[in-house]
Amino acid sequence: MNFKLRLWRQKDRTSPGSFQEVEAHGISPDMSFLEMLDEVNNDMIRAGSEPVAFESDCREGICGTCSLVVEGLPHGPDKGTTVCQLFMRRFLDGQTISVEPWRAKAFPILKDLVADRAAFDDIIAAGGFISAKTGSAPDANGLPVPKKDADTAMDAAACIGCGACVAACPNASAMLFVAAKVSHLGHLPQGQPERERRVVRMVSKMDEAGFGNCSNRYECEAACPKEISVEHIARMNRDYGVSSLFGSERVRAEGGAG
Amino acid sequence: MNPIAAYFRSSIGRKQLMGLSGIYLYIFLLIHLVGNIGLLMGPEHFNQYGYLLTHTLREIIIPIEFSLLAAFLLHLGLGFKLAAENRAARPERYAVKASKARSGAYRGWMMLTGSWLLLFVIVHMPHFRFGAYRVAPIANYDGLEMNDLYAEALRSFANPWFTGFYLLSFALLFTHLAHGVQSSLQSLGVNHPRYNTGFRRFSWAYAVVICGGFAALAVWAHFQGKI
Repeated sequence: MNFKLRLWRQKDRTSPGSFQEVEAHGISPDMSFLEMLDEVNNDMIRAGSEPVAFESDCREGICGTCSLVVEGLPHGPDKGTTVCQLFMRRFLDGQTISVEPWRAKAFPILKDLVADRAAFDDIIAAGGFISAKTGSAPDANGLPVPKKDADTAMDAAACIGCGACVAACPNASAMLFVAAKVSHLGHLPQGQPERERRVVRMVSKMDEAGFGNCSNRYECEAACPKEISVEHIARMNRDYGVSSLFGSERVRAEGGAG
Repeated sequence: MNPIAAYFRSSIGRKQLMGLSGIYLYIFLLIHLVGNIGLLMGPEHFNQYGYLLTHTLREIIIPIEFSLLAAFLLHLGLGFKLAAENRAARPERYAVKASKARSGAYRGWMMLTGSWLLLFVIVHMPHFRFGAYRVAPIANYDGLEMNDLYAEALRSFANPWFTGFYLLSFALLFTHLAHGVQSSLQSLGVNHPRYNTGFRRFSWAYAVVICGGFAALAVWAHFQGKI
């Protein structure tokens, strides 16, 4: 298969970027989108030009590193997949495909298709943890967790922190990511000690990072490769209101791990 | 920062105020609509209702009006502020924009329709709330003199441009409510898999009842005034 690619090229954080038109020849329909880009990069290297920078790690849809906006859709047109699990047979032979990086003020572009998602790390450091005793692991059945809660927590824990929710949101809001983390730990007994502090501090850090506000358009849920539900956002909204206004401790927004 | 103050400055806190003020305003719209249905019962009934609100129950109604004004100002102030922040959160737009949610483009028009509704209120309030006392003729029922708001309404709606402006405003209000009613619930954390479809339908049904009701009355008044 052959494709015409429009790749976003940007030298660094501060330089303005633009599209570069590149031809991709002899692509197998069974290649993933990233393998196709590898081929394009090989051609570029052979031709002596600078290859396009993009991120990837596991290439099996579980690590959350790959981050491309394909034809205006984060992770491409398929539902519930990351872009590394998007295959070229999904496209038409000869099709023009635009590839852009995640775009958000809180995710500055480092180079080409690579955006800096350190803001997510800061949010996790602010409250995405539990306090656990060191020593040997407790017995698995020692702490009863209702099946329903375990399932909901697992649904939220499926978040791989890729940032597609931010990329898809018309307001570049990080609500789905933060909600998934808050909801995941909030459903489990181990998450209860820090429950109030967690939601207040993570939301505060999210606001500080310059993400937009949620306007309930649900683009995040549709773009999420792990299909995390906006139900978690509602739960975070409840938790945040209750913890801020009626919490048993007066939580300061500052603080966190480390 | 004080935790309570931090709540009112946070994204979620402000969205919840947005939702609460919105709920107050759309409940008011329902009461307003019920009052307007009195138009169908003839001039005496409608004018008596107007007199009840502006004279008999004055001491109760005026504080309520101030609370509505406060909710309205809060709602639109936060709306402009949040929308400005949302724009700033993505300084460089996507060259290609697509949507996977397909939830309806009207959900993105809140700022636009909201601004139009502000214009509508600026036109509507001086006319029917304040101006009516000056322009409306006087009706007399059992020796009690009152403003003939019924005649003023029919006279105004006889103008097709006036009716057109109202109908357009109701259409935009419809899209605002169809998203807003449901959105207000989600912002306040009212979401449950068992009821979510119901909430979505309720949001649409509420918008249909409110806007359909006001529009039907405007059309009725338009033709009534002509005959």
